Amino acid sequence: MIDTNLLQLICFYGFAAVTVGAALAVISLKNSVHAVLSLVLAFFSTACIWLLAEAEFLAIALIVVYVGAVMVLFLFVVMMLDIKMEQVREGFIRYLPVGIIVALVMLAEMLALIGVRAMHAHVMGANPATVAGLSNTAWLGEALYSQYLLPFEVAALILTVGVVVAVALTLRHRGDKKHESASEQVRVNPRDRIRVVKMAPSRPDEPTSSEEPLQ
Amino acid sequence: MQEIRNYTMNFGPQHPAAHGVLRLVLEMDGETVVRADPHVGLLHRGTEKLAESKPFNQSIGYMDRLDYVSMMCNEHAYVRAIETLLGIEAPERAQYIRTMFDEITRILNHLMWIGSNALDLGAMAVFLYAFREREELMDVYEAVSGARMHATYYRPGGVYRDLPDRMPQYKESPWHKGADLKRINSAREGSMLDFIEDFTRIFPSRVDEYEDLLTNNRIWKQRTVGIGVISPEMAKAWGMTGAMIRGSGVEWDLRKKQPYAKYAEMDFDIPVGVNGDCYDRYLVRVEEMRQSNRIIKQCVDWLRANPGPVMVTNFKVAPPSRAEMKESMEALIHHFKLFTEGYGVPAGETYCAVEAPKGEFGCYLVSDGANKPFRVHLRAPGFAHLSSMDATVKGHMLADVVAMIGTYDLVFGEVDR
Amino acid sequence: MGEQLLNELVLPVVYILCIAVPLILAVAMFVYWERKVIGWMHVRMGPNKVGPWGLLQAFADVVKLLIKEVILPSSANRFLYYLAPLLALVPAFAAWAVVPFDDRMVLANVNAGLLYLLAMTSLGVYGIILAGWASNSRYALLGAMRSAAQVISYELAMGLSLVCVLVLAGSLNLTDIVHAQAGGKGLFDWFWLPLLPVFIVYFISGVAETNRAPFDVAEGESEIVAGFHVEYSGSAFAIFFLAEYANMILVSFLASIFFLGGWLSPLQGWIHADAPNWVNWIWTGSIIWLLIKAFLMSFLFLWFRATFPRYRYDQIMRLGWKVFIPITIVWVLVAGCMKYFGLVLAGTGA
Repeated sequence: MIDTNLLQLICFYGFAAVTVGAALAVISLKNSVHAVLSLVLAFFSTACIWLLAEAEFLAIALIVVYVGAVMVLFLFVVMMLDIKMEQVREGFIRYLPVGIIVALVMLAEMLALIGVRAMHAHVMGANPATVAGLSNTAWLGEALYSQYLLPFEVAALILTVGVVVAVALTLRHRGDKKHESASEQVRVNPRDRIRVVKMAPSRPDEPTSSEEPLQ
Repeated sequence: MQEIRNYTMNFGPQHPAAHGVLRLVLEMDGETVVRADPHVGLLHRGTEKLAESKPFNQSIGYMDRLDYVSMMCNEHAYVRAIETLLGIEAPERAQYIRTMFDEITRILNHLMWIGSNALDLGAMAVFLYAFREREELMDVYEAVSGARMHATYYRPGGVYRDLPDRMPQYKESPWHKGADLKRINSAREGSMLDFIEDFTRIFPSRVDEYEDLLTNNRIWKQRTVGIGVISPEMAKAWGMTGAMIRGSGVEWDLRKKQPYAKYAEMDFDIPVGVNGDCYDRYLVRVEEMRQSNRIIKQCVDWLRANPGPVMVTNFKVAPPSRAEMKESMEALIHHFKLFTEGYGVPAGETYCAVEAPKGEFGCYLVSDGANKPFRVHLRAPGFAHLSSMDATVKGHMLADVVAMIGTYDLVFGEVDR
Repeated sequence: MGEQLLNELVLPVVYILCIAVPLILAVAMFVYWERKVIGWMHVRMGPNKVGPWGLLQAFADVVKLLIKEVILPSSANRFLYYLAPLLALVPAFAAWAVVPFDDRMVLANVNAGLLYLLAMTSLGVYGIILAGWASNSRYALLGAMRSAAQVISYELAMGLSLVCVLVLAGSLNLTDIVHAQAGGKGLFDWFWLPLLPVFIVYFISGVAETNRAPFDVAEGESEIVAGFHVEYSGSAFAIFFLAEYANMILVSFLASIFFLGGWLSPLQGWIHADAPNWVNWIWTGSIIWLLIKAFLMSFLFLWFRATFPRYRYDQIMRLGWKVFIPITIVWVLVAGCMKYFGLVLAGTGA
């Protein structure tokens, strides 16, 4: 018999290895587009790990938001600007010790956090969603919209302001660009846009009318 | 930090919307066109120079191949220039035939234009609908001259021959048989004039069909209204003619201002636009199709009632009949001289223009008295229009360039000559 | 051990094939049907040479594409160039995993099925972007740029309109969403009625999302020749083609499931007769109804293509951001009120 827990463990290590490998590739690949794609892969396998932990909403939100939208734009910036990674990575070796120290500090902090939490066995114990008898998504929704409504709405407001500011900062009106208003275009009546002129022919021996000198 | 810079894009000469061999070098800022640089000459065949090396009559066929969607109008300008220098005038019936075929050509051209302009903007159906009617008019071309496109039908002194008494009919095939065959042949049972009259009866409803698909379509309006606005002053300054200048609201039409053939006798109106954008030009051309239909109808009525000669009887410029050649030595000599040496045209120069579907198509002809022109210059409307490309599309988006090419109604045969 | 292996490995593969193979065949026949329908609308005949009534045309095209050389443009990025078509295809097929065909007929009956669909459709854009960039062509890059902006924008409108659906259905599970549309009032129990504006927005967004006319600026025949796949040939092109059509069929199925009651019968609740099974489905609902609905929805794709002119790139963005998103946001509110005041009762019948 294949033990389900064992299978999950194998899957976890597989996804974790891919995540770490992809993350390493992000900072070591020469081609910047490849690096961005590695980052996408790292996100993706992280989402898979979350799925294993039955955090399906978070996992899919990670894919929809980060993989589906944020990274697409990121990829675009990299493609358009065609950044030379050699220049960016000039200080790679020099700053490596600092980077390692920062990473170690973060690791220590995380371990401490999890370790402290682990003292209170119930925090990392039963899944509150399973306790409530709801799916992960439904439980998350209920928690967000009842228990944490105010922080949630504040966050939404801040994000909206951020969007408006981003647009306001980057919008530039160029003088030479022609612009049409769609509503005006659609409102145009074809009958107002054409005149059918009755015109008497000028005879060949007469000079043509002088009001339109087209020479 | 990298600098944001424009990039150039090669639009054509092999491009689905390049209308032949247009090559545009576009300088783009994202999707916006900063500069458009049209390159011409990829279809240059030296028509003007070729005409200098041939007797007058033998160059008529080259004129068809200039603007290859308005064939007979090109012939008309060239033939009129020769006639002016020769001081001859075509018989009245020939003039009516020319008027009728000029208008048939205008419809042919506008059908091609409406189809390709719609196709450029993504509306596929109109193209095939337009070709359904084009097919009928092509059959008229074929019936009268033997060629569906390059007719060589107009000749100095008249037209090649009178209108045929019967239209060719469809033969039975796997696609046309039984009642279907009978139906499509029903209009072809009488003479060619009957056929054309039948066409003029149904054509307005066909134009309504195109308009149903486009005129009030929101997307069509969004793609054409306010795009490529050309002011009347600008239109005059760039030497625009035809629907391009009428679209900008200038009441100018050679058929009214300098009538030739039988246009002075015809009852028709001139549509002009208001704003000078792609939408106005679209409306103007659609209305022109309806007006052309009126003219054709009047010509058919006159031609039915007034049989007569369609060629001058001056055998220096027109061949004698075959029957005459069998009996008359003089006729045989005339025929031989005409088809080998041609005829000499009195020394002088002239400029004759016609209102071709695309605008003023003119022929400037210099003769030194020989049997070949000394110099032929052809004024192609498309060339003048194309030169304004940069001024009109600057600041518009890439997709509008396509709309603009469509509304210019470019055909590279005449632009490059 | 053997039985477990069968259940956990072999059967899923068989099920997947049961979806993928008919899907590929459906794409082939859909291409034929498209050419035929557009031909009729254009007063011409469409394919009629290969096989009876041209039925084998699609297969002839497939063979032609497969035996053609896949050309690699000079200084293209080889790895990404070949990877891109696969990235376009995988999400187009993966999304089918959660599509319910009948009450019990679904590959993976996951709770967050609707979210999964959104995730998959948002991944399809990678194939397009990478194809555009890796081809080393300006037309392709422009096409990729247009497509990326378009897909991301319309995903928002699409996602918001699906929020309305899930508000009314109270579930993210697709089977539950269909059950929520069951009732005694026939087709008036389906969500298209309370969510009519959103239904229209959803379908139009679906058309935009799949880069079909009149939103086909990513391919933009007359502007950028063929857009992101301008450099692709042979089987690589065939894969893009397959992905595009699989996506169209997917959108048709999803529109039927979310708004038109999935496999439910439009006569549900009106007829209560006891008839043999082969008649019964007409009022009790079956996969046949789903197929009919999806067929009619996919017909709209063809109809659009045959008649409409193409939007300009910025006009598409305007439509998405300034028209569709406000409509859907308002309707989320309306749907919430409908739900709160009990105007729409989900799943009253079943």
